[in-house]
Amino acid sequence: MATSHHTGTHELRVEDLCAAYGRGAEPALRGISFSITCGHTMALVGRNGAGKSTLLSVLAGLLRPSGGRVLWNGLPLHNVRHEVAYLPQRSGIDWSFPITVRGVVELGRFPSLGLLRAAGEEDESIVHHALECMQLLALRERPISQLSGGQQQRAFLARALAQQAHVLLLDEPFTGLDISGVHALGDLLKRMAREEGRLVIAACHDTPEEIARVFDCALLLDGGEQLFFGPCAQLPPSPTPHPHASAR
Amino acid sequence: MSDFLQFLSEPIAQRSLWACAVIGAADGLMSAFIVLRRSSLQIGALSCALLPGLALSILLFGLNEWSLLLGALAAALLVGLSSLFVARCSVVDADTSLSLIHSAAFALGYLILLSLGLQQKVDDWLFGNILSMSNTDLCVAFSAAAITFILLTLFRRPLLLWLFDPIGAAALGLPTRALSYGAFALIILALVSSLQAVGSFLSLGLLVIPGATLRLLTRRADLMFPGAALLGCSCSVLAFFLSFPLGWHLGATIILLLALAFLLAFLFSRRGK
Repeated sequence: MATSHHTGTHELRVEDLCAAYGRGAEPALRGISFSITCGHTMALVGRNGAGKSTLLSVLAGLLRPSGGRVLWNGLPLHNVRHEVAYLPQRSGIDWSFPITVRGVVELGRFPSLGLLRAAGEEDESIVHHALECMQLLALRERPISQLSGGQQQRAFLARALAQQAHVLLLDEPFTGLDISGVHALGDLLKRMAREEGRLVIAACHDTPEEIARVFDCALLLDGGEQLFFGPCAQLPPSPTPHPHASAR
Repeated sequence: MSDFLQFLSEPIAQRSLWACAVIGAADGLMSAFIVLRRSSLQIGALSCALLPGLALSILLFGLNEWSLLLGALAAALLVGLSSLFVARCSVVDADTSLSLIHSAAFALGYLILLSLGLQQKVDDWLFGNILSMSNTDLCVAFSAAAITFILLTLFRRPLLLWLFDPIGAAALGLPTRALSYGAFALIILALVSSLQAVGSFLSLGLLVIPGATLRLLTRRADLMFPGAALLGCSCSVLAFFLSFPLGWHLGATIILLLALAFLLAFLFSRRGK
């Protein structure tokens, strides 16, 4: 089955995390620490260049931390990469690539199948269920290029379901969607956390009201440092940019 | 016609026919990957870069099949890697540095070959001469084709993931840098193995047109690979049977047939738009 069916006790713990792009470079993240369990949604907020995408990159294993630890149930997260699904920014994907919605979702089975094993009945059932959950069954033979922005995001979420990942990392998932698309995707993310027990972490640029509607807690970053971690209701406003500071 | 039938019964003709089928299929398969990776421009530059490698290896080791192969391989690697180096260490982008390095290398190679009195050979390497393929050439082409088929089939799933979503692939732990270097090595292997058959200029067509044609005909990347292999193979074999009665150059006939297939696919894909 594509659902994770666990008790929500899986824990992601980040301890004093630091990261930099290259040896000797200025740290892009400093002293980030938080802990969160499955079944929750968490927003990474802050202005451009605050370190949201960098933190997601470290959690996804794309950037090695220069200090601190990222633990998943007490083990280094990098050792269980199949547990993590990463959905990059929309601009990072070639949407004209010739692949159907079903093809995208089937790619989620790669970590389980490896190089040689052919997809079996169980894999097909997992893909079918993922498509069904994301209401994409009717569109499954459609090329990904012919889908709306919201449908494309759902196809990637279905791929994460097919991967049977517990942790979903999303970089600016609401960018480029219209209001109804934003609401639909927000509801979907909440459902994936509350009903299926996944941990959803997303970098956002949205208003505090919209963030509070979808996310349980928020991590506010500025200049690579953690300013706040806690319930969305207590989220302070993002600091205003310094007049001479340049956004990354 | 009887001349052609008699020609077909000779070992050289059978060898050439096999070469057409195998090189056409392998390069066709590779072309699907190249088109999906959007690296056609890189192939164009690399294919021309083979010439200086040939020239220098003849200058250093004399004219024999293995020195030619190694020379071509070394040149493609040197030009490819040095263009990457220039791009990383300066503000000049990769395409620009590849273009300038390959044209300089081509000019150097051409002058060396002319000074060695190998004017006829220059034509063969630029445009190919399947009929002059030796057993060793055929072995190299068959081995390269086998490696290409095995690797592209075995790594089909991770390659598709990497081509479509390179960041997501890296997040899943795929060794994307190793895939990138492996793909570069496969492209060079395809170029070198088809050098004798269609030459450095025309191999570009065989390594791009089948994939581009299938790109117009299917919405599924996984179907592009077998489709492009079939198209490359069938156009090459058909060109073999057409070129002799018409008296046309075989390598050029292969490319013209592929271009015709692309044109038909283009017109077909525009229908109803």
